[in-house]
Amino acid sequence: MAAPESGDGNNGAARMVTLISSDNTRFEVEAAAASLSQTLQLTILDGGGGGGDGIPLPNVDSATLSKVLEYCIKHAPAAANGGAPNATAVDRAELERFDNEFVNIDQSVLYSLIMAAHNLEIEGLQSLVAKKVADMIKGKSPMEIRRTLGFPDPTPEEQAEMNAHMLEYGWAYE
Amino acid sequence: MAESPLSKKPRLTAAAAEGATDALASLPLEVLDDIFSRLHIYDVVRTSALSRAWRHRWESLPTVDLSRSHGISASDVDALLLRRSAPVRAFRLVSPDTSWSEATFHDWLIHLSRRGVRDLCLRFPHPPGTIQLHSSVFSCHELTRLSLVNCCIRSAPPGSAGLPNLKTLRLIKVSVQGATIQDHGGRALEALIAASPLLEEVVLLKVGLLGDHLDSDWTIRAPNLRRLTIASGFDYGGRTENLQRLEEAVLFGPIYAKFLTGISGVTKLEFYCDFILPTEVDVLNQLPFLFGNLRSLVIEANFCKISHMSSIFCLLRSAPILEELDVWAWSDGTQEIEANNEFLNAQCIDHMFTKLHIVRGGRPREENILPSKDKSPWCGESSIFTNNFDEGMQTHEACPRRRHRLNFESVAQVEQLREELLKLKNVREDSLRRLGCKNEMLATRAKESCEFREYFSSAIQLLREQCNISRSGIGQHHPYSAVPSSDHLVTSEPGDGPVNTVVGVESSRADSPEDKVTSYAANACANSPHTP
Repeated sequence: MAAPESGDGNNGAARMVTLISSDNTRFEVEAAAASLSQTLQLTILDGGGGGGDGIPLPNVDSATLSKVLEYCIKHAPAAANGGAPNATAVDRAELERFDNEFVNIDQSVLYSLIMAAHNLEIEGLQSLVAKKVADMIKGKSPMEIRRTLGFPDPTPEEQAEMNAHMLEYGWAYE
Repeated sequence: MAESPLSKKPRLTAAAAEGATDALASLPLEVLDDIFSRLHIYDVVRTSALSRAWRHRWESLPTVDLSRSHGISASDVDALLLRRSAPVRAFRLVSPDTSWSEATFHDWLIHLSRRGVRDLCLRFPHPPGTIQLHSSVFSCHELTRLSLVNCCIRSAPPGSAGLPNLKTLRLIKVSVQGATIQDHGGRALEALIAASPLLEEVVLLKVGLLGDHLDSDWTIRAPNLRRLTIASGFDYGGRTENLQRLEEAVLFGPIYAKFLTGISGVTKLEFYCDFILPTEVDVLNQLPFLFGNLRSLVIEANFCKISHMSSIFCLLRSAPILEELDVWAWSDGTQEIEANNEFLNAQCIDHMFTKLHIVRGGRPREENILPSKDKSPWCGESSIFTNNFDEGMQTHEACPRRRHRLNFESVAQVEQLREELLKLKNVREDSLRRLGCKNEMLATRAKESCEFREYFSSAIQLLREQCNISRSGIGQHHPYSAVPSSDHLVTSEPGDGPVNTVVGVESSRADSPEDKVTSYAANACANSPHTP
């Protein structure tokens, strides 16, 4: 059973825009979804991105862009209602579930997503990925953070510096 | 299209000394700042042990956000601030307990003013009105945003320049006092706002004005103000004036109709009638102007009260180009008025609703109604903060009462559709479950019939051996053999076992499982004794 259509209220076909990733893949999405990006919003409001033109995004590759658009499409209906989720608790829980699953990804993908969200200025996505990274650091010792972030094991010299720091900032390690 | 909106110059990165392995460090500074602002300060400090490149990175970030740092002590904050040499652009603190003295905050404020703080959020745990924010806050000349919760503040001391760059002022459960004993709180507020000519947003939630009363004379003047929110249970004196740039206003409280007179230029107005008095209807009725720009009106009213209904219509009559109307209706059950055609016709005038094209309605959500539970608006200073009104300090929570808007009809439709969908889903699951049971049942039947057939054929075999009767003879006279094909129109080959038919049923279950199942059941029963 397909998810119920939750369009933006326009009858007829919603306006579409084309985005072109750095590796020249074209993505056609609803203008409402692409407009979650503050960067794109103005261009779209000016009527850009329609027809054969497309908006080139030289900083975003196709894999990242498709991930970004997945987020935008999911969040566009809620955003259309003025940010305050005009929705039942069920819908909100569904968005939350989607978000949690959405950032459950490889770190390299996460970083490209952070950069894309930053460049495209997609507020919700920015805080979602920032929160994810914060959670990776939260409550961990420096060694654990190093491992989580994929640093190589510290040299004895580095280890000594770490220990010295931990002594100096003892209050932060309580 | 030559220029893409994204082909900006590469942003400053927070040093990439760690090489390719340290992707985190290569993130733009703003992103890193955003990430670290979400952490407990202990987590932030620990990152400096990560590597040499990380040693001082946290200290160079522009934000010191201690709003998530439970359990820190005043000496931790001291240590943090003193170590830093970089500017502190934003400082957010939720102080954990009441042991921190006014003098401590004084020191920090002085320090922050030297570090060029622009965004200051302080939330005190003290019982409202018991801690005085030190006047050193007025030495933070670069402040563009000030957000205070639960403290007392005086207007700038004489001779101080105030906060000339302030753009956003949010006071929540704050008590405002005059700089001298003669000055009342209203005057102090007036001075506070007047000293910041760039102010674009003022939010006053449950703000107490010490010594203010209904006849007090003070005025909110702010030439650049775009958004104004006044919400509390107090009947302030004062008025608004010279707010030509105001775009959005939210008014919630007693005798607040008078504030409307200074804000004729708004494009969006939220007006809550909870405290409105019958005399205020006259004020509304005689507004000496029309809201010439008002496009969106959000109004909350008790539909049983004549003063509320009249207020709504007063505002509607004064808003000739209104495009969107949100009505939050509630009722306390005591019906003073019946809104029949006669009443409505009397309220309407010709130019009403000419541009109106969106009307939304609904009931106010309980958790969003703020000071209204405290239904004694005439309370004194001490009872100001009786409600446990919890207001976040974060920017995105800036709007105090973002109500969820509903479109009456379409919501009803959506709700109905959703219910139907749910029902259909239930029906589907139910029938699937029943189908499953039937299938199981059939499988056992099929097995039984197989066994029966085996038994039967072995019995026949036995008979044949014993009586030496030919096989064909038995087949022709078999009592069951002709029955199934005539009664059930099933053309089943003798070799066509029941198992095959089960597969058939499964593959076509979506059509009408019941029919198939029953026909098969009969078929299986009838066929089973069929001689091979």
